[in-house]
Amino acid sequence: MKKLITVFAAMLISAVVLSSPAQALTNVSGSYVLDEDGKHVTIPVLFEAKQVISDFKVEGSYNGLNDPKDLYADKNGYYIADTGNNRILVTDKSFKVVRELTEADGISFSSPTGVSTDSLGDIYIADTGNSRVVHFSNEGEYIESFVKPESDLLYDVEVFSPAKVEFDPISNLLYVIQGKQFMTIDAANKFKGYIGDNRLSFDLWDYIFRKFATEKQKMQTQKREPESYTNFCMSGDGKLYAVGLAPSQRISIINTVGNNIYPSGDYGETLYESDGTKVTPIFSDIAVNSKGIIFVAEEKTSCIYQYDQNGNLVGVFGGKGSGSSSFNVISSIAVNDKEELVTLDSSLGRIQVFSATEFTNNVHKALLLNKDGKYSQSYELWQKVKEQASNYTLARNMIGKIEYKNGNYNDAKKEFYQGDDRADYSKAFSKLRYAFFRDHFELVAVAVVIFVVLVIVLIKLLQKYLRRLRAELWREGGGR
Amino acid sequence: MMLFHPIEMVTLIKRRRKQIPLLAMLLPFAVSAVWRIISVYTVNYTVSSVSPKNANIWLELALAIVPVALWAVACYGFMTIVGGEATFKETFLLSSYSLMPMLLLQPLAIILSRVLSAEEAGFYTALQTIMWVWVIVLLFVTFKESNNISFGKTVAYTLVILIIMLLIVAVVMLAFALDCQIVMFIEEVASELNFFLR
Repeated sequence: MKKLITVFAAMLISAVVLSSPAQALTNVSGSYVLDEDGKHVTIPVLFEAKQVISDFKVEGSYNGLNDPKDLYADKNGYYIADTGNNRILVTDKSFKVVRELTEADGISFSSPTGVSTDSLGDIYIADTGNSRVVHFSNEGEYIESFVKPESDLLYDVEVFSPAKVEFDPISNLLYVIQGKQFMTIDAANKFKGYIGDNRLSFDLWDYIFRKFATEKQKMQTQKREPESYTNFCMSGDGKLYAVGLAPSQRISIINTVGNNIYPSGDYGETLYESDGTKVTPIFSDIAVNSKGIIFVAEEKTSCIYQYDQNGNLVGVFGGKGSGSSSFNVISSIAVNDKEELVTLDSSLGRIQVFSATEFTNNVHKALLLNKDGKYSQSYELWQKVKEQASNYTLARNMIGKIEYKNGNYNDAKKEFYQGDDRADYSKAFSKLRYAFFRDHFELVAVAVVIFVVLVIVLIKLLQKYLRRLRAELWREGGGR
Repeated sequence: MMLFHPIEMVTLIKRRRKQIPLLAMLLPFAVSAVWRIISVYTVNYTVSSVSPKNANIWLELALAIVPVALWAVACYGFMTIVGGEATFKETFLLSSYSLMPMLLLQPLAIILSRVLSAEEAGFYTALQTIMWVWVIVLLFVTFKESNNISFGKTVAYTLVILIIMLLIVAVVMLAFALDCQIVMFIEEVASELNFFLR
């Protein structure tokens, strides 16, 4: 009985001592980056909310937004696809409604989910419910509409439901995301081809199954298709930035040949819910600023992630909520010509305008200088960034890389250790080790020789001792 | 002597089975735990798998002590049922002595890691693997010898004991979860009493 009580008491005490709070999907307010284990590292605020607009006064019509799915910003103002109200709002730079487009060619819009403009200001609307893309002039005059192109290659597209559309002046093509396809249509409404094809990754179970399954079983399983794109945007320099669901290609930059030139990687965070299910990130929109920094909006965590052109995470901010700097469902983001970030929240029906803090501006400028190879200038900027936030791993790594280029391997090594960059740390370490060997070869050689001699002597002594011990035991055991 | 002549060690221990000191049983575990914690801090960053900022001390201690201790307990528990010839003290002592290669080779591995970069991490991993394989071989051999069973039986018993180890871990986790529930309940009752009495 006493034993039972002691065991029970021990378990109780250990439970009290060792119980720690569980880590769940916590609501993050404030900006952070990710360290090597995927944990959040807090950094200074990246973007400050400047404006929150939820009221769009239109005479004789709805006053607010209902499930708005797309936002586009150009030099004249903003264009909002107010999907739930079946209309497109054209506003000026201070968000005053200039025009409200509700119909084209006699047919009212039905759930328009995409809107964009080209360099002349002509408006393109993806009128999803009516299976067409509508082209308006800047003044709101209807010009033409595009329907499903006649093509044998589109045999598996039954209903043409364009989700996002943009016009590329360089290639004179309309880029349309339609269901799972990312296609191009020319001015004569002819199908011009798919772009940015994703590869189907190798799945071992699927391969084994298909090897051994009968025809009937194969017919019953679902067809494996490559993942599709969810949204895209065109940058000023003609590159196509797209986001999709493909596991290692969530962000892609598609060049004119159709290849993805963005490094593949695990973008976004994979979170786990409290019952252990994996929550993979779904990016809903992408935007690029003039310095080449990519902004992506992620649905599950309602955060905005920033990446540079090399795939490095610059920072994350946002979070679920209804206050400022929080979102419920981010449906669209855009960068306006004042380099502010404009976001559209489809659930709360509001637009938030964010301006970059000095910290963010320094980081963006430093990244741009790095890209152009102006290392001495970017070095000073990175030092400033490091002063503001010494745990900002990107800054430490960049400083480390510049030190490494300059040959200061010791400083580089320290920076890489703080920046969680094991590969570069190892490179700096090898250089240091080589230099050490080269400078102190005699010392090292002598040390190695002494070490080896010591080990041999120790082993010999141990063997002698053991032999004596075994002999004793042998005698003790009666010669067994 | 344990390293190269474990069978003789077994004979020696069996001869002195009445006088096995507690310190001898626990010291190798303590030293291996100490080496483990030191290695978290001193292993070169290039080849390490945990960095000091993210390391969990309980996890490191558990990794150093739990596998072999659990083996000893499960082994004795099983062998008493099946009819082995080893007492608990002997099994435990032999298991802790089986950690000897680790005690000797771990400092060597740490020193070696200080001069390695990431591409040469293979040397460090090889040394660690040799260390653990040696430990496992010693456990196996002492198990066979101390209970005086044939080789085939040893293999079969080892597999069963591994499953028993998993079961023990499951039971402990269950007990821990139940304990947590009890503690939470007591806390709730206490806070309600507190509120009520105010």
